[in-house]
Amino acid sequence: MHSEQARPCIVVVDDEPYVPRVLDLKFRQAGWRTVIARNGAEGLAAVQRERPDVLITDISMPGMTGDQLCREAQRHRDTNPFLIIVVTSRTERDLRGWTDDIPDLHFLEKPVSPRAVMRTVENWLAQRKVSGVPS
Amino acid sequence: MSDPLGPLESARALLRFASNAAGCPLALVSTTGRVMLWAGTPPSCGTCPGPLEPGCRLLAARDACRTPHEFVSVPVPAHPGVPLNLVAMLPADTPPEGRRMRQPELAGFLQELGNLVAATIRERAELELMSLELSTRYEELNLIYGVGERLARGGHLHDVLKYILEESMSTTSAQWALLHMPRADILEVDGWAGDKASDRDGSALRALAGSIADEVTAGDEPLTAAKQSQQALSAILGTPAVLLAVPIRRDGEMAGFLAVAHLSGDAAFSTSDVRLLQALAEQVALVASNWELHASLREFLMSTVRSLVSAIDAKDAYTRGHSERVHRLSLLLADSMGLGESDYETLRWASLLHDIGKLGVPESILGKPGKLTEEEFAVMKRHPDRSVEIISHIAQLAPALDGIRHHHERWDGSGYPCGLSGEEIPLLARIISVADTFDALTSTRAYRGALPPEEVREYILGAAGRHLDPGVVAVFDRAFPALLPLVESKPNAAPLARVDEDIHVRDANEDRAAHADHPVPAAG
Repeated sequence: MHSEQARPCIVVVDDEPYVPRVLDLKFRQAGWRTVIARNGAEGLAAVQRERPDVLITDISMPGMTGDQLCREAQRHRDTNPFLIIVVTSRTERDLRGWTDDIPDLHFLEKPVSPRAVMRTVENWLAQRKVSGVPS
Repeated sequence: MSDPLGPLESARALLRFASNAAGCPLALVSTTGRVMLWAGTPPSCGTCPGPLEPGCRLLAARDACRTPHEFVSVPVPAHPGVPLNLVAMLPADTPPEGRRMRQPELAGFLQELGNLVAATIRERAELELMSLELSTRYEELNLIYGVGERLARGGHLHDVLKYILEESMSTTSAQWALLHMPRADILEVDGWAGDKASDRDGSALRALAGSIADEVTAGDEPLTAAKQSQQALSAILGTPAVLLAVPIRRDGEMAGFLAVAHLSGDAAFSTSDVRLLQALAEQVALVASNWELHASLREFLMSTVRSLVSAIDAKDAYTRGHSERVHRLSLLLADSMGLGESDYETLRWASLLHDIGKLGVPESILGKPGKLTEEEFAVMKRHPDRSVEIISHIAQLAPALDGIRHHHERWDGSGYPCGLSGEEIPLLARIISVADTFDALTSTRAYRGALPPEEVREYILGAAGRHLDPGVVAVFDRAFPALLPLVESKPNAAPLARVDEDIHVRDANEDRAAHADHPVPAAG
């Protein structure tokens, strides 16, 4: 059996429990370690502590918002490159300019499809493997 | 690696706490003796390579153990599918006074603990089921929103159906999809096409669609692994296929089906796949109904417009078919220009209706063989505004109004009704203007004969930058061979005029005469 640290890790940040609940189950079933955070600050702490492979976050949250979290989290990606997925509403499409200087960031639209999250993550992992970045 | 314990994992903390309290190792063990979860200091028996781990056979371990152990076991009523026992393992050589709990006490404790563990596992299992249900709901909502958004964007039926097929495949991880609605004449296939050569005319695909439809109708249920259709599909694609088909129902009746297939032998569809495909099938039914409604409204509008147009034809025999030809010429010009879809649609209506205001012009003026007086010409010049008055009652045609109102404006500003110039004139009006000029001059009128198309071409090239938009004229020049059949095939009421006789083109007033579909007052 792999040790806890050898399993890939995803940090899910959302102030509502529903999507994290679903992603937690889906990713655990796929053999992942999952960490749920209820706000941006918790999410940032989890990124620093857990060195995840994937960070998925909602945009509008009380306190630190999703875009602020992404900008802060970006500082930790030099030593630990991870994928960022931002879940956004279909009406917020125009408000995506802030991501221009954040690489490896994907948008998924609400209501989010757990399968689409999984596909996005798998594609990114496959790409990372090809480009030879150590995981 | 998958989540090894699932809901059982939720009992780990409880078991650890209880093991500390009881002062002995505790294990959750399947009825076959397999250790599922373990807490406390494991017994070290020389025969085991290491501490007990999930998956070890507890009884085998005990039997092989050098130190005899005493087991106290109670059943855990977690859920009927996975019967479990909670086992406390006591080294048999520990004297009763060295134990933290005596035997009857320990049994009662285990009983209580077993109930707690069962409740915890059951709740976690229920929660996971609900999460899975929620997950499928999210997938459904995501699909429905996606289709709704496609529809709102106003794409063509084909594009929306194509999108649904793509979503059907990606949602169910399938590699092939087919949508069939016989009465609506819809047969769309997507994904891996296999060896195209084996079904060049598509007859095998149509036969397959028929066969799936039969089986879906007979079953009236989502269809998995329907033998006959699955074999037919495998034969067409040249690879083993696993088929899933769900019915599309409209007004309670079977109207067709949506099918997907895995093309790798061992894949199978889940119940969630079935539900998601059913959700998409419902969307197909909605899309089709929506489209039919849209089409019938459009047809109604078109027939209304055509009746209006035929009313102008009835008024003036000389201009019979003119609106229709200007319509077709305008669209040919638009094709050559690569006009955008929405402008093209607007041009379709504007070009057909550009002269509708002539309904308000007396026949004595429309059909007058000679030149018009100033007063008559003033009446004539009001026809674009009259067109707008008539058409403005039909809300769906509102976008076409500008193209209709300004089709007699001129590039140099000398036209009517507003005297707009250059690009102030709406593009659609500039296109109609060129088409209108071409058809009018190649047609016989009460006041002159038809001109040969080549002569008219020269004339139009000469009018570029004066009456006509040079850009549209350039397009006209390039498209000329394609436009020719339209004006050549029309019935002419009189023999072709000789250009040198046609005073309306060649006289001093050519700038006013040539463009208008009617004669103008003589100069002076």
